[in-house]
Amino acid sequence: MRLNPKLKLRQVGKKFMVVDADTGSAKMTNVFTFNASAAMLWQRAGANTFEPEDLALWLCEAYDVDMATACADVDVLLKCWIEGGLVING
Amino acid sequence: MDKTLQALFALLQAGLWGRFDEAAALAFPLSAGEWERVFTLARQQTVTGIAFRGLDFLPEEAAPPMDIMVKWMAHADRIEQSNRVMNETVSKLFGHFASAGVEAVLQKGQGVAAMYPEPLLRECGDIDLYFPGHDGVSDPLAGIDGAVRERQPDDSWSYAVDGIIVEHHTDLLDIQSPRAKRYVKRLMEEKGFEKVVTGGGVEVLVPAPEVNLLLLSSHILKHAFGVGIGLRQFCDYAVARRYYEGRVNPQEMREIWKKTGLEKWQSLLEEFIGRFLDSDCALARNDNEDFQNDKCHSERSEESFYKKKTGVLLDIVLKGGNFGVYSKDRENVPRARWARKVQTFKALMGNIGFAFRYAPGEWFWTTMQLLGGQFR
Repeated sequence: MRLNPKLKLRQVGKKFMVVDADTGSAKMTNVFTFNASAAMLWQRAGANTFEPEDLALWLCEAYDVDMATACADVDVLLKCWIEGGLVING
Repeated sequence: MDKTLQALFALLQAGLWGRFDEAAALAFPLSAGEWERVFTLARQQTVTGIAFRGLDFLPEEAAPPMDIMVKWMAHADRIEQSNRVMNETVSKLFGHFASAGVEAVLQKGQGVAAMYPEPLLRECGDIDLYFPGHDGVSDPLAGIDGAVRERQPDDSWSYAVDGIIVEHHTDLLDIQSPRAKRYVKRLMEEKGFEKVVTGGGVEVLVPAPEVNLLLLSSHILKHAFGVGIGLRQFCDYAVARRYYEGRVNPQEMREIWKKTGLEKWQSLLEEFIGRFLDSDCALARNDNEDFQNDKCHSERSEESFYKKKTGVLLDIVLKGGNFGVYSKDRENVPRARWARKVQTFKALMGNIGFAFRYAPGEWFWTTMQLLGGQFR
């Protein structure tokens, strides 16, 4: 899978956000706010393809967390990203 | 000055130069309604992307409400997407000209955007091209495949590529006075052109620094005493001025403004930029003669003299926004060419006081050109 190339993570002040402006109107439902760790994963994934395990590994590298916890967190995160169209297959 | 306008200028300065100064911070915080007004102003002046970058430097407690932030962000995304399409089109066009052995020069547009800290956040418009060595000829090529071309009243050609309007111009600069035109021709031959890499990584030809500054300044002037002008063009000039710092000789530039009859206009432009868009840059008040000659100068301080002077230009900017499209006078743009000319003529007449003070020669020759059917 990879990140939707039409979307861009933006940092304004301390906030990280992705706005899906493709629909022509910017509604709050098209806004995704990220915490620092999700933003780190987004930035690291960039334009590359990745697997859930890659994200879990990056979390382990950046934070003091074991692989099992990281995998569980990534599952939750990816579910949101997939539902929101933030990632695409391929 | 209105608080929302003050905030917009503060955001623009932050977006252009990457920092807020203490004076600018006084404009904040703003209410939700005031933020809405700043956003609308930014859109009218086509500086939404630059101001958006400025938001990044605002303290968190002064940031706009989330709904406005989201609208702003979505707008910035669309500006970036448009710029990516624009960069691809510029690449396609320059590839086309290069393969045909024709040298094309990019006027303003992505050539200026390349000087911005974040080129993709400068709102893009049309692609304006000039072909050196084909003086007075705007069509050295048959055009790009499949594009339907239209001849404009000023002999330029226009067509659309990927939905973007491309214009081939007969002249590089918007200078109409015959004497100044002859001088500019010599200057162009002397200075030539130079290569820059656009935000999209395409190498394009742009005018030499001195000519480029003249191009940007005279473009603002033409629209200031015509249908109107927006802040984006002032940002372009401010960015180019900094970009070329150390590469242009100020004394030589003064000669150029003098010989083109734009000395007074240029002094006003510099003052405007120093006051609103680039307060760090030393003001070039070389025309104190202007202040000394002012009939009321003994009654007013130099500061209030310049405040009034730039206020006239600010009124023009606020009246119409980007190329006057938000002006009440242009709510109903006529379709017929003659009617549009009448509208432009009325706009020229409406700004006669301003024009006579700052660039009477250019105003006269621009009006003559319009009456002669050549005004763009």
